Amino acid sequence: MSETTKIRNEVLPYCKGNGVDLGYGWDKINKTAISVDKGERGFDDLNYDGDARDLPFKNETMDYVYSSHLLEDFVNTKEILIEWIRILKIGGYLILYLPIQKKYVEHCTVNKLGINTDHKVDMSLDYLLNCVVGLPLELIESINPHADYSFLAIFRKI
Amino acid sequence: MPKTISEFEIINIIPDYDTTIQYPDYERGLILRSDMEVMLRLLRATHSKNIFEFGTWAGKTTRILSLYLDYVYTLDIDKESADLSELSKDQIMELSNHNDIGHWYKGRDNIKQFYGNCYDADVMKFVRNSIGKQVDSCFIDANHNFVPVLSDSLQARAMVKSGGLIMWHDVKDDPSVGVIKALEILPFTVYHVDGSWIGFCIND
Repeated sequence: MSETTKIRNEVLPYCKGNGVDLGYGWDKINKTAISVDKGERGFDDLNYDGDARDLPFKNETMDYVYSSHLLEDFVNTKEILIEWIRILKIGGYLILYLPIQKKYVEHCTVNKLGINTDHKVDMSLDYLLNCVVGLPLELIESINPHADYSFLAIFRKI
Repeated sequence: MPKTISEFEIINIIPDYDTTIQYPDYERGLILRSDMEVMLRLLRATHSKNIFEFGTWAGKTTRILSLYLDYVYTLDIDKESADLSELSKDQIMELSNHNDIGHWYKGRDNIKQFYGNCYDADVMKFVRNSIGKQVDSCFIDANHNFVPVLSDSLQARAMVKSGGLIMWHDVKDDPSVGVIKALEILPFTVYHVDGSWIGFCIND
């Protein structure tokens, strides 16, 4: 089961119009989203083979930016967020589904799963909210929908 | 909407553009003679020797391109390989069977046909490896929906050399066609040639 599958119903109401799914991982949030990922992973439904840190879209052209379990793989969180916000229209939604690193490690340990070594930051809602300080975003909602190792944060660009 | 310019203004962007050149080898196809001549003049003015075409279909445009260029690479998806659940009835009707793709250019030996979906990373990897270099130009005339045009355009940007030419067909103000919508989002400076359905840009 992909991570996106877990929160699709909560997220879909925000995914209307032009939007991107950054790091889509074989499971686009909806059929019309522009999927962005690294082609070397062998995707068969990839719309842009490239780096989510440098997006090939004009400013303020997207109604939503959705990303599941990707942001934690980059060190410079705030810089990445600035790039993602750049392509959002005013009033557009930034939808992030991310691991709570501590809980994620616990989950892997208890279930004897390998830990993803790509994670570069100690991701949590507090960490994320600290990174968005000063950015043109307002938090619409943040939830831990399945009380597991991930949280969902939905922002609107102001 | 991309900026519309006349053929006479193209010279300000591509100095070698020549509006007087005629191209006699034209066979009536999906692209009008006037659009085809704009394309061929752009290719000549940019000194393009080869082209990658997204969307072969019957292969009439491919054939004409092959008469004026050293080499043409062309990609299309056949009905047998396409995911029909994603397509409208009209789009399914437009798909060709494998053996029908490019039937119009048969016999030309400077055309390389690729089959597959450009969304498939493995297909595009195979295409790029087969060509083995960046191409001089690209022509995008495949699925005209918003996301496919956007995707083809980004592929083209990666495939065409710096200073090379990217062209789009069906650049027209028609809400059922996603070309303009895609071009409004992409970071290209695209010009629409007045009186035609051709748009072009010089790749960064």
